[in-house]
Amino acid sequence: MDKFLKLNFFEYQTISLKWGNKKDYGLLCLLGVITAIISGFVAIDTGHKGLSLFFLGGLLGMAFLYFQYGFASGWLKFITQGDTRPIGYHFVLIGFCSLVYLPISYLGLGSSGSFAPISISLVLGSFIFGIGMQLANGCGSGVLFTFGSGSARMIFALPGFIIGSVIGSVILPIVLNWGALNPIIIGASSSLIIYCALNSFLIFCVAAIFFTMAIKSGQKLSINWLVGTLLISFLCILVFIISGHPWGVTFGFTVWGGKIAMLAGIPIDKAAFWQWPGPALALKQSVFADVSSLMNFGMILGASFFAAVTASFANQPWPPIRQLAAAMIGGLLMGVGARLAFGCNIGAFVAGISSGSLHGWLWAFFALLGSWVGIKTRPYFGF
Amino acid sequence: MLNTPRNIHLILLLLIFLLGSLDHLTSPVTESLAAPADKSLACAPCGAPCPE
Repeated sequence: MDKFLKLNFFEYQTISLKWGNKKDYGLLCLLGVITAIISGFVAIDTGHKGLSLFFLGGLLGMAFLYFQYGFASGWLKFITQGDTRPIGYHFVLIGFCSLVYLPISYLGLGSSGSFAPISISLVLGSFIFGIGMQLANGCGSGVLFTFGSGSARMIFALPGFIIGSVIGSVILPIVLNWGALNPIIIGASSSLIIYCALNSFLIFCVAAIFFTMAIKSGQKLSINWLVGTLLISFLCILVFIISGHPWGVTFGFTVWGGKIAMLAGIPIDKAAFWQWPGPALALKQSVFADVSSLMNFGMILGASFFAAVTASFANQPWPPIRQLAAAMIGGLLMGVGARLAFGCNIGAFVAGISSGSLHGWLWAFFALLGSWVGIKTRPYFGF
Repeated sequence: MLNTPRNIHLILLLLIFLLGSLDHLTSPVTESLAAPADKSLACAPCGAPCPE
């Protein structure tokens, strides 16, 4: 480690999480009861596999909160300050995941990567998602872990996201008809070694370019963020191996919204999206039997636990009302965008690129454009 | 003060947990976890079919 530090490219950074004075024992008890009951439900129905994914969701919530691992804030820094380091870390995360996703997926060893059509809906959805991400100040995973940590803004962004993803589910089949091609997997027709090497090389090259740009402009790489990146990629790989798919966040929100709509008497099951076998099954069975939904519960609880232990749960006052409106609108846009674009930063950007799917690269490009528009819109909401 | 961020959060956490539990208890018993991409015809993580 000292050897690396002597290269003068690296530095330790103080974690910016605001720790309180004492642990929140009341909240810890409440969370303990909720976790025990959900664990019981999950253990009875889906056994160790369900429990593992539930707790992996919790660990991801804690890790994201501890390292303040944001996609929205990283992209904001890139666009407004020219700080290329955060996107560099994101590509390192993707690169580590790709080292496992690509060979396992290619050889058909039980788990399969994340692939999606190249479509007009992908372009529109990722652009809309990028705008929403900057208005809400958080992406799919960001909304979850900051909601769990007690962010007042996310009280508005999360319901917006859920409503938006239901709207997105209704319009996705229509927009898919505007034009779509089957998924394109980079290097899929070549041998295993070329397929893996080509994709991983591309990903680590992009990371290296971003890091070189940062170092040339006098910035140092954060040891903390690199450790966080390594830890989160390890957890993502475990999710991939246990669940059979890369980690995704937003389908869980769509399921929650679909079920709430049904509870409210809205016949959402008649919509074309909910007639497809996967969504139809998710709507019928328990919210704890869908991987994405189950992990979302875990992530919220994990982040809440961490916030309770560090006495940082909901310790900030209400933001101005215009910022809350921005969070709600941002959540709505992210919900619609995530459905149209087949996922968020986690399910499309990280999972797509690390699986060698072209849709992940296109998602990143158009979401970055959307982020730029979102950042230009922020002053209208007072931030 | 009921309308502090902390109290609203606690209410929402409880609501999410209660709704989730209610849904679980009223849903058919299942022994396996599912993801929409597991289903046949799925061409995307959300279960969308292939365009061609």
